[in-house]
Amino acid sequence: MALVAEGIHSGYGKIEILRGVDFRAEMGRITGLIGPNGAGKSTLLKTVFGYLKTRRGKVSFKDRTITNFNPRAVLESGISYVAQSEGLFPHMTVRENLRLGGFLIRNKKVLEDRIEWVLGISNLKGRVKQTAGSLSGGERRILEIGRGLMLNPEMVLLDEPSAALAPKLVDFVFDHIQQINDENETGFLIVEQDVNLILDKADYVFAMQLGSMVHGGPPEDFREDERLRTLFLGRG
Amino acid sequence: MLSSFLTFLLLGILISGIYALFAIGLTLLFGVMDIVNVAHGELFTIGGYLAFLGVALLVLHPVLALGGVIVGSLAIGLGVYFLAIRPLHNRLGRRPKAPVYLVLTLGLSILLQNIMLAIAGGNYKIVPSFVLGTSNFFNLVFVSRYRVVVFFTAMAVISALFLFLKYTKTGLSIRAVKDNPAAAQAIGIRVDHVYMITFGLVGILSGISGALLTPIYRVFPTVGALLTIKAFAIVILGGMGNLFGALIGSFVIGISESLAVMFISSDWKDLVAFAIMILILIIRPSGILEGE
Repeated sequence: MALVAEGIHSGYGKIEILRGVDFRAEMGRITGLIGPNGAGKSTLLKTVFGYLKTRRGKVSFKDRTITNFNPRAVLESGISYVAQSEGLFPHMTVRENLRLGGFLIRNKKVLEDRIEWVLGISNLKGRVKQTAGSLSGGERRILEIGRGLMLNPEMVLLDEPSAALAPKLVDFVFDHIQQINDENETGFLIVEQDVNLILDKADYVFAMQLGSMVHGGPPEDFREDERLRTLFLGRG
Repeated sequence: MLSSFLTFLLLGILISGIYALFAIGLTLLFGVMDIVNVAHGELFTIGGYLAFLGVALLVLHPVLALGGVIVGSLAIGLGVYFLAIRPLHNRLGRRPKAPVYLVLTLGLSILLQNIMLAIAGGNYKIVPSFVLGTSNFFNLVFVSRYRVVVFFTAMAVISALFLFLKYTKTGLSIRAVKDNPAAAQAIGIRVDHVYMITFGLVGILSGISGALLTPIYRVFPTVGALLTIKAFAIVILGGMGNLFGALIGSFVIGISESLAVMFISSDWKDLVAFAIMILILIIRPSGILEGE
């Protein structure tokens, strides 16, 4: 079962960014999405999540159509979204941010149990009363991902988790992503500018250019194929 | 001299309660939706007219009349949202920039003033006070008992608002949208519902403040206009979007106004209040508390 996009067209105002994009992100796997700036990677995540309208095409998850669902309905179908930046509530504490991540959970005990679980896997237990805005860059990123896990999603759309982070913090973040994927079998669809990084971490990688999908395959394809290596790794 | 000073100080404190109730609504709307609501005073005036309708014309018990004010003000607040704000959002497909809201609410202000003028006429309407007599504090300070009741009513409403925002799920969703609307949407909060609720709350806060103040200042179509300017001063002074800042700013303005009347003249009270606001902003441009 998977998150599948078929022939997606989408954009901002009169400008079309996505021109017939197809991809398939299997559940339980880490799927990477790479491409140069302006390729439409973030636009694709926003379209799948319902921030942007799909003008043509279809999005389905676990064989159920979710095309043009609003963000709340996409969340309820099992997909969460972690933005590239500014995704936290900076004036609220770590605990309040996580509580908000479980906004759709009605049962208080379930909510509290989820908060404790996320605090455990994210190593933020010592920071629960601290405001999100006062955390370090890596901790903020972990909190954003943790909040995205509060509803126990089957798929997390993650937009540039390494953005603006020092290399050591990038390892810290990706170690956590790997751990969650291993222990919880949560699938991730990760937009990432650091191509070498995502080729190391992902099970499958899609590459976009100018609003279209250029290639989808295992990471080895991008290392071994000369054309793909030149296009996306910048080497001959 | 001590007695006069304490009296004016207390009068300043008492009027600050109403200022706070009025200004908190304005700063809440700015904080949640980036709306600078020029029509805020008209919501206050409508509250005053509803109080006049209930108390003077229908001769209802004051508590019942206040209930009517709450219901009517809520309806007006929601009306503004559904008839003006939401169609604008739908037309643009997004929230507009702040100047668009400014122009929209300016038009709304003029429209509402003229509607009230057409319906109620230009004469002052007097709403009788339901609490008579004087409160005596240690034989030093004597103030109208009504003003004391108004202050504690305003503080009770403000406390209820803060508790609502802090401890209820709806209050949490309002705070979340205020902090980061995109992130709020990403966790399943219906942002348009939050906008609707915020307008309802703002209507209620303004309406109650209008109803409580009319026995003191009377009601006429433009009574809210000067108060709106004062509310902007309070909001800016307290830090735009900061509810607690608006509360503190209200007391700064209310007390400084009252003491200005004592030491200078009542003609100067508004000037002194705004002068203090400018002085504090020169020293601390973000306001007493940081804006949000």
